Amino acid sequence: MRFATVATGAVNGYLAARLAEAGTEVVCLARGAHLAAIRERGLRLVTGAGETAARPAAASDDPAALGPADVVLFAVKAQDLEAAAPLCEPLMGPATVVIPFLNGVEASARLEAMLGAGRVLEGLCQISVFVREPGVIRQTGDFARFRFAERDGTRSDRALAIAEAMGAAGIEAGVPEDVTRELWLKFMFLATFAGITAAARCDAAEIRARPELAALLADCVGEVGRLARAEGADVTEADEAKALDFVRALPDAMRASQANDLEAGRPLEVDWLSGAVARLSATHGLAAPAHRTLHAVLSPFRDGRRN
Amino acid sequence: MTLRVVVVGAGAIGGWLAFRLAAAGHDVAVTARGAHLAAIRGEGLGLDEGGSVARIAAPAGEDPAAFGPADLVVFGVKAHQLDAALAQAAPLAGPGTLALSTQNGIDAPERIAAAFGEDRTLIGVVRVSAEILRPGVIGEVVQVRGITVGDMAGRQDRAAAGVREALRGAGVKVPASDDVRADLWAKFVLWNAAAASVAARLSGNVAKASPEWRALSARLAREAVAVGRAAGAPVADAMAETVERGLAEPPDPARANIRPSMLVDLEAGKPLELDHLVGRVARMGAELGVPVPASEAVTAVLAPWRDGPPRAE
Repeated sequence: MRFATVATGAVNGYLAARLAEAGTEVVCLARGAHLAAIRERGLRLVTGAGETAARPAAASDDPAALGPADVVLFAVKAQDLEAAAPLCEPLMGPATVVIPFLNGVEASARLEAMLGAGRVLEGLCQISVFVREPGVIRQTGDFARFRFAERDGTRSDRALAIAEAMGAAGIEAGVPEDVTRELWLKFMFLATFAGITAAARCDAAEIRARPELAALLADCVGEVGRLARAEGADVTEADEAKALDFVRALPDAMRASQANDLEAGRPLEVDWLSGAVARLSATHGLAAPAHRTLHAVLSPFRDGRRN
Repeated sequence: MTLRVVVVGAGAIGGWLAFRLAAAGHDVAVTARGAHLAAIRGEGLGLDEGGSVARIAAPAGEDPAAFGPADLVVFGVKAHQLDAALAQAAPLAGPGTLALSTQNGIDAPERIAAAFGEDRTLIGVVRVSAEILRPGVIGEVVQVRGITVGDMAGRQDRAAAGVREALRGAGVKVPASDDVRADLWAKFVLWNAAAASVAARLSGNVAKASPEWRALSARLAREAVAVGRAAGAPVADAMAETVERGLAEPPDPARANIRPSMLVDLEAGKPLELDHLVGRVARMGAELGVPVPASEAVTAVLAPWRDGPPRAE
């Protein structure tokens, strides 16, 4: 099975490093200093358990030079999806499947609209990882889970085969019973935690310490829960309670990467997180004033730093 | 007639009023703290007008009780400092003493009235921008619409008349108003809309490029109007429309430095008037059963900064 990564940022850098280390064929789309470093020294992966370095079968900034792949692992910032999706096409043969690992709940539909029906799986990941320097991927935390299935939730043979190949390379990949539910559970936490820690410029300890923020947290989680049910996902009020408990148990200094992006003046995924909650809720006639307010507060920064 | 005036909290607005009244010949004492107080004691209170600093000599101290009794007590402290200032200022009240509020928000006049009496309290609605340029010196004064002054019934005759005349004689704009309580609420509505600016940490003239931000600002104005109407306050729907017209005007880069004072405080690491502005709308909404989700969310994202930067900063 031949894998390709579009592009090769933190999440796909982790996957490509694992695949290459295990001797699975993987080709990487990258550019600039990162590409040069991958070509020269391979991909280095630094985790709590140690360090690996492995060369992908090929790396290029031109997808046509990488040849067709059986599986395209697609991971970019949510706001870059439309610009990056066409880069998949030169990598796709008649049976190639694309798996998105993006934040938000709309990536697979957006990709399918561009790449065609049946070509895209639903996917999500749970991992904390960043590009430490060109060619070097740093994983923080000890979890790295990848889940995918057909967009309608079907646990298809092709999805199972891909999960098996990734598993053979030491990746915790699986085809869950209900991928839609998993996607929404991740989104419930992520959209909420990213919106609050960025808009309030705060960490998990502040959310716990301030009654107003604790109430906002509960409002935000409830809005995503109602939206998930309206979208047909099997997400219950018990799941909402679990999401609140999860935030209450986070380390004090924890905050979402969106808070770091805001501070560093980088573009934000906010239109696909709190903005998506507000926008999709409106299509169901649901009010989502908490997420709508977080989206509004962060919206002036969506394209990066403002003065 | 020469008034004996004590300005409790000679910050930007209080200091400017103290300067104006003293320069007009009134007998003015001020309270301040720290380096600002030391500078006023050493060199007098300065006002920078176009680069040249004029000074007046005024007795200055930390404790207003040292300067009583007075004909007029002007409270210039921030809304969240008012209770402490009132406790200190009680000895200033004589039989004819009037007290003037200048605070943002809607609750300062009633808090002052609880100490000085309903018929001795004047509502001051300040629409002036000013800064402490450096210790002892006030500047950057723009009398946008000046200070609207009236009594607790909103009227400008009777008790308010003498103070309005003294202020006008000191070069302060004192607009006429049919009901000063309505002016107080109008400003409160505007400031609730401006809370969107504080939460985004951007001048409205920059933030308004985002349609979602404009919608939030308009929503905050409507929520303030809604709680005002539910509370029986003299507030008109037209106030929200005024805010929306302002939001519809294109961003003016020349005004990109104009920021609400709560944002100035936030950026300076100072405590915020949160509970007296957007936090007050959130609380009134809860008390009156009026949905104010935007005010609640904005209050929440500012809550870690209420008393200054949170521990993590």
